[in-house]
Amino acid sequence: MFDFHTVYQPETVAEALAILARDSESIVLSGGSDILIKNRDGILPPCACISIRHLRELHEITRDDDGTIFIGAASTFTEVMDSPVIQNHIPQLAEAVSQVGAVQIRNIGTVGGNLCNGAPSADSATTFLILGAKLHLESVRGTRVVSIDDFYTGPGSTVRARDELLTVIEVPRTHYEGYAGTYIKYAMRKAMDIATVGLAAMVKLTPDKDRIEDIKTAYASVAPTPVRGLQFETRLRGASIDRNLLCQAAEETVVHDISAREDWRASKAFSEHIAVEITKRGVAEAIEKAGGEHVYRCEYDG
Amino acid sequence: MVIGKNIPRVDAVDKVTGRARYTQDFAMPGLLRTRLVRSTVANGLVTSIDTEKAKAVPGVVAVFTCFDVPQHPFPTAGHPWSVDPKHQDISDRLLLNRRVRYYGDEVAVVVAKDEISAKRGAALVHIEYETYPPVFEPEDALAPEATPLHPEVRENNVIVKSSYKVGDGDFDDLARETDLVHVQGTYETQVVQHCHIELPVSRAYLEEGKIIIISSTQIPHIMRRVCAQALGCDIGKIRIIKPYIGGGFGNKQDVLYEPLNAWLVQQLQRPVEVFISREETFTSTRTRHAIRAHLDTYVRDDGRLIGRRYIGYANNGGYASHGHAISANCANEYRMLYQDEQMLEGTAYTIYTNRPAAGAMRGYGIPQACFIMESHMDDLAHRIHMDPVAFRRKNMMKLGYVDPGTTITCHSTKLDECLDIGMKYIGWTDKRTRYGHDRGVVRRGVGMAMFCYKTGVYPIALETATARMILNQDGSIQLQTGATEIGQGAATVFAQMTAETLGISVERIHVVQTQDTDTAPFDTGAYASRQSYVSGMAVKKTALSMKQKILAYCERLTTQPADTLDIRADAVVTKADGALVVSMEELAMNAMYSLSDTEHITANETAHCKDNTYSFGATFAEIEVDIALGKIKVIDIINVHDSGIIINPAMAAGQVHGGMSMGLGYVLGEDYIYDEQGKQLNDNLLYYKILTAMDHPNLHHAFAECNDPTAPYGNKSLGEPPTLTVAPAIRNALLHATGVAVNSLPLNPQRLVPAFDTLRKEMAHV
Repeated sequence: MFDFHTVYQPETVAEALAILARDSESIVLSGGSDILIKNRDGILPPCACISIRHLRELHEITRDDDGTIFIGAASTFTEVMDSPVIQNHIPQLAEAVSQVGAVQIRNIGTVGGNLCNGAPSADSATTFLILGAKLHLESVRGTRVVSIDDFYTGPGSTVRARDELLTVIEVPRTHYEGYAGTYIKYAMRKAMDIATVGLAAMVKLTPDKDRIEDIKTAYASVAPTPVRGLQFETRLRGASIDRNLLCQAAEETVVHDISAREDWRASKAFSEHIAVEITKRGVAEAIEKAGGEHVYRCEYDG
Repeated sequence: MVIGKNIPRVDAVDKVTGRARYTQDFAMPGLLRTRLVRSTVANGLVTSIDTEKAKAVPGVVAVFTCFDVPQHPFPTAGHPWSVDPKHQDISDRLLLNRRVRYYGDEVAVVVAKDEISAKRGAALVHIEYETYPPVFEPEDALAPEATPLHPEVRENNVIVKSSYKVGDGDFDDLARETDLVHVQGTYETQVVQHCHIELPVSRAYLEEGKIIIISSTQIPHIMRRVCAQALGCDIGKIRIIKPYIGGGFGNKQDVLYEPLNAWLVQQLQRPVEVFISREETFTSTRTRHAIRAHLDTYVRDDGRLIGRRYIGYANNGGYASHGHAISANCANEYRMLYQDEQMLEGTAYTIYTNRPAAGAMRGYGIPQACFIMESHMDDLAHRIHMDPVAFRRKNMMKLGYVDPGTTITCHSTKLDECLDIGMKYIGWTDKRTRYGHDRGVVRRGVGMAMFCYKTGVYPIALETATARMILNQDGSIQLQTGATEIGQGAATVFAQMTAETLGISVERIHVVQTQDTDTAPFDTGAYASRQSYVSGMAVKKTALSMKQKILAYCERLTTQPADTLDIRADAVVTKADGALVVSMEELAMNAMYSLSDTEHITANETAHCKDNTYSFGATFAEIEVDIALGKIKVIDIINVHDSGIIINPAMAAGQVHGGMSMGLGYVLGEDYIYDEQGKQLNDNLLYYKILTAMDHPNLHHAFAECNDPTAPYGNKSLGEPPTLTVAPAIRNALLHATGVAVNSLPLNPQRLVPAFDTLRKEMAHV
């Protein structure tokens, strides 16, 4: 039994926007895997929910002629994983969302909800961050497009106004073409878990595969918001593919890029240690996927 | 022969099709719901409660507080009552508490027409407390300035301190023997919980002048007695009905909210449900005791244990529940599994603290004992450079052992064979030499641990069971027991036992799955891995009595002497040549409807068990550990069990795998984490890390069978044993892989990453 005073089931996005505008106690219910838990735990004020998950136009994943990818915000994690557009052009996003929770959650949870919930641990957020995604926020006042770099304002909060609906996540071609990426979700369990520390990494190599032409990294759960590893990126951008360079860059910059704090789930020292280690492993994996040498293997060799 | 066959579970189809009805599946018009209001201080006294706003919430019917309930304390433990006052369970519980002793203790309850109204009401109850400094650890609770938590039963916070001594002489004199190696260590285990899939729930109503309680419980007959004690009424005025339940593992071997439920029904004269959430189950039911032990050992370099000392402290939390029994059991294991050349001293404490009450959980002190003792055995083996298995064989319990403390005798043992099987499976000899020298970031090791476990609680407490069989007109049998099916497969093995002894096919044995205390014969219930052994004795005795009665009726019916007859394959036959005398169906129809001689053939026998026996086993594991990420991956693992004759191998395998799974959670990540106020931070299945299917390796098992002479069908305990040795086997494999001895649980990354600091520094210098 859930404590909502009204449940709306609009038939179009326009209808949903109208309800959001006129009912000041209404909130968007996409997959529900965050909202329904908050409702059960009594941390939402008395409210009504607007169910949008059945609005087909919000589930479309397309790529237009100039290579721009549009992801409907109510696309479930499973829909993203199964989409040929995603698999062919930004497989690292499919890899990231394939690690969310478990099959059941992936079948109902949506990428739009994952971003709008504003949690720094969101498994899709770090990949969207390094893809430089553009977020379409619609309301009765019209549409505005916000860069994901400007979307998060703090833990659990974003620039989305209460009566705005995220409808589309847009990824321009130049943001993904030529890159290979990976996502490491360091957690206590292999399923049904939230990232203790998450790393999304993307690299583009020079044609001879000896140097890093461009690199982008982002971290989950070690800052108030998903956060870029900017100093780390600067150190490795243009560098040759070399184990010592990779390790030194990680050991010297990562701790300054993130802002881990003492938490009962993981101490500051622990989170920082793991962030450094998975940076080395994740970037090495991304380099190998891009066709470069794997310089940081961690397998049993006895 | 039905014993030893893989008969499909008698409850399987109902359970997987959703037909099985659990407590909340029984329709009850007008049922009221409840929400408990819980303490937000760990140690304090309620000074006032304001319920006016709660009472005003639409849908709220009543609000009761700690000021409204009867003030006579009662015990909650799932133990048979002792007629000796010195051995009775401690009565330290009230239905609702003014004096609160842990964060989450029950203070008030809101009763409403639906769950949402109850929840809204509970949020509006306002409570004021006088607070006292909380004591969370045994040493805090034992400090002179600590508040006694139950001054009415214990003047300090020691529930019990007990000691034993084996052998003569002074332990400290062993220090003078210069040829001995002296090893000390402190080992500790953490608080974990059962995580049964069905949450604690009961529905109570009035009928026939009784309070009837449908409950998810392991112990219906004991619960009836406890509810009567709590309400101060006659036992006959309470009726408990236990339908299908979704697991218990010991949490439901305690009486949780049924007395409160019964009292609410008395007050309101309407049916009431008490159902708690997973979070409330974590914080406010029972846990496995955290035990810390200081071990002191003298060993000779040929591997012989000379003298040992054990001092263990069990953290019992705010209420007694099962009391000292778990801590004593843990200390006793230390004495039973290995024997010393000269002496052994053991001391066990159980201490009240401001933590949730610890109670019974699968293994009852032995998972803790095995982690403590088996980790220490590997540390000893390491010190004297001896193979850990050879070291254990040299000191372990032998056939014929009679335990000095309890007189429990080792009537049968295949422990040696268990070790052989485990060693062979895991490739012990090869891998002990091949692994253990790795210097990379990923390292491998193999480790093992073993156990002994008794079967039932005799002679420490009463062991008694009753079964009843009824012959149906079609020649089939109704079997009623007070013993409960809680997922362990009891109903199925009782059907097999009945079929074996009675000669009626197992498909025609109908096991009554519900225990209703008005009609089910007496049995104390499911715990201590007792039912196949003790309740099995009652089933066998009843089946023999049933057979005698059937053959006696057959003699009247056919004039053939009963002592020349037997029952085989649903027919009475001549013993000598198996010739058909009369089918069971024809005999039964006659017995029921004869115009001259009817008898409604039933048998009802009590088995008062005055014996006990040890089962044995071991876990062997191979692990891979990532030094940088602090993660253990279990590559291979096997449990080998000597549980006598295995009655249903496929079901037994499931039991073993389930226990191994709990053991893996115990070692790899389960734990209770609290804040400074004593509030549990990880009170849900996201942050409490029970393992998912994805986190398990393939689980392997083997049985080394023997026929125990004291058992009804040669069988010994198997319910709890599978969970006992997984944790120390993994810890010992970690020691082998890395040389790092970790003496506290769980071995999760947060603990391992700092433990590997030195190793990583060494690697950086290479």
